[in-house]
Amino acid sequence: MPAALADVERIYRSKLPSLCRVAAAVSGDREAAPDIVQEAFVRAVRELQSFRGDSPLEAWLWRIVVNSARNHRRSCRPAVGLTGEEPTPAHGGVDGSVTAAVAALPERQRLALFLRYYADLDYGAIAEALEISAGTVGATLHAARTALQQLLTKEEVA
Amino acid sequence: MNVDDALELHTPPFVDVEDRWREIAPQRRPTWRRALLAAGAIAVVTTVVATPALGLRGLIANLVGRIDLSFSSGRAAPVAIKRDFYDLDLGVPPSMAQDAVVSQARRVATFTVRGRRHTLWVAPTRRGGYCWEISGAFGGCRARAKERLGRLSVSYVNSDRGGVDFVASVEGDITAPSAHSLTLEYADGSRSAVPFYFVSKPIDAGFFYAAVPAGHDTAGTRLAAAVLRDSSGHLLARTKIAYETPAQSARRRAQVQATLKRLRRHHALHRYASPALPPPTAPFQTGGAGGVKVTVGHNGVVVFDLVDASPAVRNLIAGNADYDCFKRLPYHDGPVSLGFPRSFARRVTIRLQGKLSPPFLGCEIQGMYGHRWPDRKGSHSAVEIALTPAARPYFTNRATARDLALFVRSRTMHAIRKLTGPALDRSIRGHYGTRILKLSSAAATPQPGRIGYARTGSTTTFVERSPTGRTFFVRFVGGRLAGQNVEPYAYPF
Repeated sequence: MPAALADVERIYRSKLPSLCRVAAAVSGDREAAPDIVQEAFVRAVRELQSFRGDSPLEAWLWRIVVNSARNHRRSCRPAVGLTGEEPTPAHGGVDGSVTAAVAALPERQRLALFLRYYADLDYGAIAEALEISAGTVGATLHAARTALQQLLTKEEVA
Repeated sequence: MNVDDALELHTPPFVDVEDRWREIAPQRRPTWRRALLAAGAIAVVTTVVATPALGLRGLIANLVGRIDLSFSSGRAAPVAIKRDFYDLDLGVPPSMAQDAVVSQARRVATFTVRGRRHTLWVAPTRRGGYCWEISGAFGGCRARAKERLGRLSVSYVNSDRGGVDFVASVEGDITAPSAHSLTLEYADGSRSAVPFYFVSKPIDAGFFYAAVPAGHDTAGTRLAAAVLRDSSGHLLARTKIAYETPAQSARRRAQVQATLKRLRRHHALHRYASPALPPPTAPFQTGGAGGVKVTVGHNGVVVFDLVDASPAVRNLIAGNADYDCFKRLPYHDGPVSLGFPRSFARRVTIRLQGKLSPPFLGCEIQGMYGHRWPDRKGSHSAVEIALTPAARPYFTNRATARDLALFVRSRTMHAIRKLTGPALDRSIRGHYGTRILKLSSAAATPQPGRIGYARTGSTTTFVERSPTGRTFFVRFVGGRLAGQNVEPYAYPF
């Protein structure tokens, strides 16, 4: 077995719950999350030859999982109704105000938050996964936390 | 709510995700013989898993006794079932929590018992066990791996016909992995097989729910035991059914009556003294209303200081009252409240732990006086203390929902709501004058604080709008409750 494939297997086995959690958060589809991770890893193994090794393997895998989850979200999004309201993501049993507050964040902030909180990635790994600089990650996370806290407070006041 | 709590609530963690690496990594090409065997196995498994529950699957279960089901192939449980599993731990000390992994709750099979379909829901627990629920029947938990002992657990309710005890149905779980057949044995020596579903890991247990066949309802024919065997016919477990003699049954009924009488007396006269608890610890939440001050500690200890309670409040909570706090929880539409009865004192203490631990949206004291419409406190609790801004609209909306629920379930309305047409109008006008408004349609709403109603044919809809703008309704068709949105704030029956 090539060394890289063993590394992919090690990351898959050690991070599976976190991978599913991030996939669920990004896609808004908890039930599909294990399948999203599965498809992402099938793709990663198939394209392992194209991995150039100029970034950590784990960050490359996270990038594929995040992109797969984003694609799933796009492909499953129902048409906007006549009311013009954006459908709310189907998180199992989530307080609607929390879902709305998280959904109101800009996408980059949202993804950075998910990778930090659900995958426990450090700034460097988040930067690699989202293809942004490590300095930007810190600022993005700070902005995300502040915005989310404000949105949640506003929701409680409303 | 802080950011960390919000993110926990947004996407709860995954536990026991199935490792499917074998499906990801390139596999060794199978030989023809192995491929044929694998194809055969897949065909059988697909048939069992994919056919509608209790269609072909039920037929197979009857033939072979045990049917293996894949946990991961089960459909996600709806929110109502997840809430059931989640609520198992509400108000429970952490050491006694079942810790069901609610997000993983799944529908795995159905049982048909006397023509009624019952769904089997299961969820793994964080400590290697499982919880299950059968709709319209029972359920339970073996929350820890070590509770998987015993191999066979049978629940049954004794029925009584002509003074003879018998069992009409059995339900239970099987923890022996090698279980192959479950048989019911009767007092007359006859037997019948009970099919059961064995759900794969992380559940790793079997479940059954079946009616006892007709003709087993006398002392000489009734169910005597449930017997579990492996594929070699070796005995794994045997559960004997216990029956009472008529004398024992009469004695038990008398004991139950005496206990109920004692409890009623106890509830009316008992003083619910505050237990000795440690002081609240920082960080605190504090608030007050009606002269009552509340301090909530991070350790879950809540102190209600009643020294300066207003005379009106003292009048409402004299004697015993319910002391509660509430917060938002996953799987619940509205805030969830939990507390304890306590007797009036200068300082009243309660402790809330587990899932219902601080921080809270608010706390309250609810008087135990009989509530009638219109309620003397405007359907508000005797003391309502907002610890966060979100508590205020909750109190306001709940008061409106309670007002409407109290109105429709009042004794007078029980009779009036069965009426239709002009007779209904006359009766409402005769009893309530202009306090209850007739609306042009069910979509119309009266001004806040007023109840209105609209009728079309045999349908009558009662409506009340909260000062927050939220509208509550209760609808009756032919006098029967047909729809409402006052729950979970209040109950219209």
